[in-house]
Amino acid sequence: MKKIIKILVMIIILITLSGCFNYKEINDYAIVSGISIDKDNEDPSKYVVGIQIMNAKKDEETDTSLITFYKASGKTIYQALEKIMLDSPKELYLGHNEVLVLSEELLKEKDPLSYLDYFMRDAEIEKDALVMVSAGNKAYNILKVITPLETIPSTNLKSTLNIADNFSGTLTIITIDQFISDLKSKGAQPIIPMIKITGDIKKGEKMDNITESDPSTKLKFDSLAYFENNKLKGYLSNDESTGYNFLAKTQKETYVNVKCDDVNEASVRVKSAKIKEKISFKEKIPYVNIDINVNADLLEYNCSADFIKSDKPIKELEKKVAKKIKSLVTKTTNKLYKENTSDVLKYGEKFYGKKYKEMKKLGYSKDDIAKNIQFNFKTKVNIISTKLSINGIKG
Amino acid sequence: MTLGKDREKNIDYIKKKTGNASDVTYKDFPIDKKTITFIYANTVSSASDINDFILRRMDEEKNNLKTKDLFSYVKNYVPNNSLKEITTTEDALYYLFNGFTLVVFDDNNKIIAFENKAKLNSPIQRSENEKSLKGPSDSFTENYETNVGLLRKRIKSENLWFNECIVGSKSKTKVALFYINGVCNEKLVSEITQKINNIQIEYVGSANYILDAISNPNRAIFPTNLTTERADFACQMLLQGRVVLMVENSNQVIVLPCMFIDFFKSPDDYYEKGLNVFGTRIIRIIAMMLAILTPAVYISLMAYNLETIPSGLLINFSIQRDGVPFPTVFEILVMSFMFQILRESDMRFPGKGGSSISIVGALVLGQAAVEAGIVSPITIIIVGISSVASLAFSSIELINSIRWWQLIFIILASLFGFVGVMFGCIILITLLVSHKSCGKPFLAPFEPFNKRAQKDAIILEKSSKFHPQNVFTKEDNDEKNN
Repeated sequence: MKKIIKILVMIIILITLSGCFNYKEINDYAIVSGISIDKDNEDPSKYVVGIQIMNAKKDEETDTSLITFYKASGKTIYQALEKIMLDSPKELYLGHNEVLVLSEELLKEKDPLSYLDYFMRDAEIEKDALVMVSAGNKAYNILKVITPLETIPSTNLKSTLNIADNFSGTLTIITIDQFISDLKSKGAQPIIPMIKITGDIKKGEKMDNITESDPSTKLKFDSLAYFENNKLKGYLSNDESTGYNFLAKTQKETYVNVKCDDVNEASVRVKSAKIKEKISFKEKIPYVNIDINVNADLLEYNCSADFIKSDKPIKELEKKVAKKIKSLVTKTTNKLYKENTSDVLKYGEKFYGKKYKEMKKLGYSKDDIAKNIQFNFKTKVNIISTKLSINGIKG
Repeated sequence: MTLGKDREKNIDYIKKKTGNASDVTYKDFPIDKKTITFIYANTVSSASDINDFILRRMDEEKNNLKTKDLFSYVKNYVPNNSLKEITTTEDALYYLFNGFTLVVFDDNNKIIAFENKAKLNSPIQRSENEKSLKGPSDSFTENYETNVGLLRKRIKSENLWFNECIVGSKSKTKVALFYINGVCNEKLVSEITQKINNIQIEYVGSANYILDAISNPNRAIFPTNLTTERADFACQMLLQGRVVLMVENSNQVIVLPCMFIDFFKSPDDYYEKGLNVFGTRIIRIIAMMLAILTPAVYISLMAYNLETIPSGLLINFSIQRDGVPFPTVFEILVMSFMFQILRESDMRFPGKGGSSISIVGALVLGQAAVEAGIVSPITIIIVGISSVASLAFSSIELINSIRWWQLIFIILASLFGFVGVMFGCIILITLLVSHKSCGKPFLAPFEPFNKRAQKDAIILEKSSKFHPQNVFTKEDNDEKNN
């Protein structure tokens, strides 16, 4: 009797804990790899949702999978997805979604918080998907383009962004949950990468696109988009993007070009950057002092110099690079804090958190402190390696 | 029943009891007025020994015997190394079929028995089930005396003691309990001796009969005793304070008590470098986990937790499974079942047919089933991993119990996903912890933790190889705890 009770308890615990009703075979699912959201031009209260499915069919020749694209419109994202499900023979599985493409139009007009709730509410949906904005094109067109190297366009986008984030320093990645939490916090604003289609969209939808050695239609990440009051305001230039990455400490590796003599250029690869911030009030004005300490490698030096004989050329180069970095970050802060009032780098929040008492005394509120911030930069560059050559190529 | 004084009567009684067996010879040997009768079973005794040492001797001395006392002469002067005086009919029958020659006298209620056993044994051979790479390759045979010799040869100390019992009301099989005096716990010895004496069975086919008879009545899914056919391993175990049970006519001995970790040890471990042994044992432990858990984890991943699979892999899985009409669980069960059939037929098939079975099995099960779209390739890989991993052990009992656990975990995973797998793990660990082998906790020396015994658990230290110690004496406190 005791044993039977024990076994019963076990079964009850197992069933209530796990719920065997969600047993589902993998081939009953259509695995969604990318979602796009556009404005519906016919009915402004509706959204057009496009999805890319990655396990649609098998390419018999190469044994790889081919993608399929579905599109529907609805008043909510979920309604649109439900409509798509009626067209598709399989259940949509959003657990492996890799990108969320939002259209520029929509971001400029509407606060994303008014339609992104579903992405945070559903338990199954991937919250690590990367957010990007499609400029000059409908967002769903991005999902249609078939790309070389990676057969699944969304995976292609994700890995391109990851590589760019790690090595070029001009782009940054942001996931859905970060994006939404940036939008939600008062003052802080998100930065998201912008993507463009170059070439003809119609051609890009066909498989022929990737059989050419130089595909006529490509996807290209261009720069970063910044927000003001939860609406897309504009784009940062390449220099400003690099500067942003320095300041946001998302910098992993980047390169800086400077002139080494009057005509020729040298390239320096930034290996690591140490950034120290100090916030203070000076004569009632909020100041942010930033020390940037950079370790770098010399990668290209098209001038003449011998690094063994004297360290002068290196010292000079270091100074030039430091100056360049300073100008990059100054450009960024000018754009983000002087021209606009969006607190993208969250300095306003830092003042609110650390200098709350003084802030109140001086009569600043959390929202308006950002536009009054003054910046001071100190940059120092250390070139730690000249790689294989000990002099310039010209001797 | 004690013997009577009448020779004829005694002989008639033996004849009656044996059903007038045709292999029992009654040879009358008249001396003067008296007659003595030799009784022996041809099939189990050596004819040449009887002729050379008993019959010829009697024949040569025939004339001198007329004046002497026959009984004392036979008892004292006929050459033989093992002589027994028998007073009961039961003993007479026992020795008769043990290869002894019975000598029955007129007017005497005692029978003399000479040993003339025929050698009905296979010679000492290489161990087949527990292969030896570096160590000695001789293994126990079906001959009891040889087996005892194999142990004595290795441990020449006078402290190698053994108790002998006779088990089986019909088979009358000798069972010897070996231990090293001064090392082994005496309580353990007396306990096991008691158990063996209490065995009530008719026939002892092999050592496993004794195992079954003395093991605990609780349905222990994992075996709680180790059998080995390697004499060197048996000696190593003896020196660690364990008891070795040797059964007549069986080429395997039983090692008691046996811990869970002992299944991960191999006789050859003691001939290798400690560091390498550590590696091998870790691999065996991982193999055990893989064998039990791979199919279950695969099912719960595929059916419940798709989000944990990297997307590149997920697409491959999904494309491979495209067109397979059966659920994953069914696939896994079918493939595991087919593998078990293949293993069984490979093991039982006589002679050289084994390889053809493997070829057909590999082709039919692997290639063709995938191409026909009955199973997906990944299933073959999963079943392959778990099956190969389960064969990393030499104990067939363990392999078979792993098979049960595989099944239990597959069912739990298919119904409850990862929660079920965790549940299964908890049940498995609980069972292992509650197991006992001869009163010793099965998971020792890890639970309860015994620092001294760690020297020969997962790691193998030189000191425990050169100076083996009884790791169980310290665990007497464990018994207190329970």
